[in-house]
Amino acid sequence: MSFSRWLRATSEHYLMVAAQEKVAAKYHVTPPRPPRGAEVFWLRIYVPAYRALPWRVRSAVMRRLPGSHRRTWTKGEKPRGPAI
Amino acid sequence: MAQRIVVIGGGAAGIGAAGAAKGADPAADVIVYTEFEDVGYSPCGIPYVHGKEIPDFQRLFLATKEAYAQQGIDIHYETRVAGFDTSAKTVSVEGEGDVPYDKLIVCTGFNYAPTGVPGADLGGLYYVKNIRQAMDWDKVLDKTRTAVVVEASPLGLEMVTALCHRGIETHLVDPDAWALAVATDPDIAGPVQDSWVQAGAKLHFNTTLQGFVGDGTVRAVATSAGEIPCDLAVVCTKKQSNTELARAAGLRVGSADGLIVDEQMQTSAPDVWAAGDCIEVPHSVTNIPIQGLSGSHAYAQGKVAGTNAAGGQRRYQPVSVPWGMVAGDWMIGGVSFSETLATALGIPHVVGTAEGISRARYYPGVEKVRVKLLAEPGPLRLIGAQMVGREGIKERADFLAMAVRTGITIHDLATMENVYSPPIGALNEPIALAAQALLAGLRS
Repeated sequence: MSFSRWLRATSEHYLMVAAQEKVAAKYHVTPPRPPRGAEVFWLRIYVPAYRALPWRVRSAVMRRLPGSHRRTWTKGEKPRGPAI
Repeated sequence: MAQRIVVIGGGAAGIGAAGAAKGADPAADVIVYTEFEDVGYSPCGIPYVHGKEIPDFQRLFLATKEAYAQQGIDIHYETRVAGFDTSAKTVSVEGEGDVPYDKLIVCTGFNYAPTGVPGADLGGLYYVKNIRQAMDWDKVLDKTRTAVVVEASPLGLEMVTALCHRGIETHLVDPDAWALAVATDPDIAGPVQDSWVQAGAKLHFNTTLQGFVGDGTVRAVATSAGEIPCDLAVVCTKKQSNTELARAAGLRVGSADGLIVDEQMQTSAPDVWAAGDCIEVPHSVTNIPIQGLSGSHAYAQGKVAGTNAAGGQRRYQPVSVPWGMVAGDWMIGGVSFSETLATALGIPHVVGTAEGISRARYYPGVEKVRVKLLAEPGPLRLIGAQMVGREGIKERADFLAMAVRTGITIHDLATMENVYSPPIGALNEPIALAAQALLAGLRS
């Protein structure tokens, strides 16, 4: 597994667990279990650090990762004004 | 001389690609290699045959083998491709040797993510994929008293529902806090989970799979909450791109672990296209590549790849991923982001939720429809939606996907026109009610 793939997969996993904690609290349902071992680093240090960054910065980092989004994807032209 | 277009894989993407290639260039020699006994069936229908909603597997086939032959598509069944060489432009086929191609389309699909636990090689572990194996497993289900479904993925939700319908004592083991947590929020998944419990299912959320226990055949599933005795385990882990051949051939792979393609489905190698679960495509809201979409995405991507490989012109668009399914007694669905996923990625958003009805309030069969809309703060463009109800979910998800793609705002949705006809639509459209609730929330 490439480093970028590992980073994205691991990051996504713990960001999802942290999000479940937040959303579970909002809807008064059972949250994920508390972190253990290395999970503590990801959930109590990495996730708050990620959240502290502005979305524009996070988005810019994600867009720099290798992927299909860096190839050509043309936005369709949309006609303006009334149809007839 | 006719060009030779070789397709590796006979799933939705492969068959879509082959048909489109033949349509764009009827003179082309189109060859499909599949390691399976059949092509052109709907694997997505398998859980519903297991659940007895569909009476037999034959209904899942879209066309006969003769029909593909009559179209001029040369399908080599039970034939394994061992590799391909993009410099020599050959495909290495077991039993056939090196087969030259002019254009190649890679549609190698997905594999289930390995569970990585002891006992993964035991018998009695069912991976839903191939229809012939599903026919055999269906006979096993006749004798199954207790089954464990591993992970509440989309397939996992369908299989829990199917096994409950079949009267099998069904356990669901999932590491997340609620069902399909990657796509849904707890207020959407909650009714589904309640209906499963009413049907006799045992739900084990926040529970980690630790192993499969047995002597040759699984007899229990070991979890962080203890052992669950069973006759069968259905493994429904995440779909991972099957890119083994393509990686070996030097094709580039992106951060979502799918083959990198452009809007024409062309890969990083000349004269090689790819489509379906083995590729990644950008999300229309974030422009971040994602992988593991639906059969309709795979088929549409296959058609784009096939048309372009044959010399035509067709473009694919970034995706906003409308989805929907029957789970338990409910239909659930949505588009793009749930609250949970938007929170995970840290995407700024505002939320509006409302409960409407599917028909006129006095019309027999009227059902509640809960709609949740997510929008970006400020301009209030729609970026996601979630729904739960008993009818009209799929159509709303499709509509909302177009709304996301075209940049429609919550203001637009709050004032949308809607069909009013007592048997099929209420005076107030639930989507409009959710948009109005979001605006009211912002005002207060």
